[in-house]
Amino acid sequence: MNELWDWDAAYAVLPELLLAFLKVTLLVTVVSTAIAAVLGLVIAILRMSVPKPVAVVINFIGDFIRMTPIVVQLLFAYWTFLSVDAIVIGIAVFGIHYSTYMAEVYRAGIESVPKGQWEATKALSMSKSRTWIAVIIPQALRATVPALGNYAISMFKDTPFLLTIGVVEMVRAGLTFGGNHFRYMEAITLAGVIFLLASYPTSLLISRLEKRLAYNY
Amino acid sequence: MNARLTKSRTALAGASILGMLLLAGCGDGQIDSAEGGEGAATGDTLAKIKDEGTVTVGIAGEAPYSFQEGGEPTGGTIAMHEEIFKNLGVDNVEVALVDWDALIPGLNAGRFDLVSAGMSILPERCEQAAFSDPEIMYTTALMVKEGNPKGLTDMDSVLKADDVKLAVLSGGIEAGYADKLGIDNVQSVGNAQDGMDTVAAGRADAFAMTAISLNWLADNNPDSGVEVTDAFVANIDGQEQIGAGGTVFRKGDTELIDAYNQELGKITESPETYVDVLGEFGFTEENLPPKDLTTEQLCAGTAG
Repeated sequence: MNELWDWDAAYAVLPELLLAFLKVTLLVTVVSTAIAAVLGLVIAILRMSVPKPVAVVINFIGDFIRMTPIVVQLLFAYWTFLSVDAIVIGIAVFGIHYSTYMAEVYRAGIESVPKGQWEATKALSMSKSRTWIAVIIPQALRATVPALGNYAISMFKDTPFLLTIGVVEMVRAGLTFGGNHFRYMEAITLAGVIFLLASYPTSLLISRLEKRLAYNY
Repeated sequence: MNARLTKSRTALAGASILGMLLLAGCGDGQIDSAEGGEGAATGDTLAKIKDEGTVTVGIAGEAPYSFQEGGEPTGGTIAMHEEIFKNLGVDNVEVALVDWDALIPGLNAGRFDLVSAGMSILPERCEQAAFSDPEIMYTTALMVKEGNPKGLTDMDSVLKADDVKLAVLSGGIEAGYADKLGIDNVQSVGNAQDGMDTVAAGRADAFAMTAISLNWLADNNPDSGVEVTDAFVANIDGQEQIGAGGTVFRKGDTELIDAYNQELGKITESPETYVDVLGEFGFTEENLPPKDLTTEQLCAGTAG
């Protein structure tokens, strides 16, 4: 009973972990990454195209979100928006929190587009929206894809914070199993292994993508 | 020079391996002696506590079962154990406060003599430890906003009502009920206090938990704006979910368990004697187990 590892317990907990992984962890990661990727781009473009005082305000809000812990934001939103499901709160908070990081990535990507490109669009008297959509964003994205991927992995590994607002994600499912069967070792170890198995190949994929997308100026 | 260096390195490696072996040997020795100690305690726990005049009980600090107030242990199962052990000639009941999950492991490691927490008698727990006769019947209740605006009475009413969010304790038995009944608008909470806050703030419409705990919470937080429905026995697929709690002992402490059960029988004999000991903490005659309910049935999962 006191042995360090019990295969029966491991087999018993694995389906529960995988279910929580598919139903919560993966769902939150995918949807929140999509939100963060789109919202981050919107923030980055807004910041560069609105008047200076407005940009300062946007900057401040972004800094504020980035400089406060995600757990605090989760709990704050959880107890403020009472009629919203905890999982929806989780997705929104993760999406918005990481969009502020992604906005920084996009900013760096946009700034890496050579000045000549901007000048060229002017010379061709392209409209502002055409400049962004046809010229700047496609070039900026190439430089930002790897960093965005890394933030997605980082978000993936942050999903256990959801247990603070009562969302039964993978770690909470493991803890519940542990509490009922007095076996934590298997549940927590397997949760860690599932995280590793999902994030390590993703990071390899991202580094391959990075090499393929790298610009040869 | 080089050869000497290699030699001294080999010696160092040898010494460290020897050291590790020694440590491992000591470790083994300690485990053996601990097991020996436990072995000696097994079966002799009754003699030991009579000898010392003190019984140490493990608690998880859960009101109203066993908790500490102003440094003093108190609660329903504590009152019961003080009564029972006084009759067994042990005047002093001491507590060891640990996490809920550490109660049975701590008991088996010999940190305390029994677990005083009204722990539910469940098959998987019976594999790890021995239970006394049933002591407390567990019925379920719902904590709702004052006035019960959604008119909830039991789990079925939650299932039938539209737009009712149910809070349950993460890993609690009610979470299993909700799951089996197909109630999917569920918010899980970490502890009873969180559950009450969740209902008080309006994040959930009802919080399902053991009636005893909910009544205690509501009585001790009169300003929280919540109330507790009448207790009910949850019904899943036509099967009444009978749950009962007892005191947990180490397997093999049979003499202690027999002596304990005999004294326990004097308390569970009639509703009067039962409420006399436990009534102060909100337990009522509804919590008195029926005479035909046995620990064997509960351990086998065939009660109800």
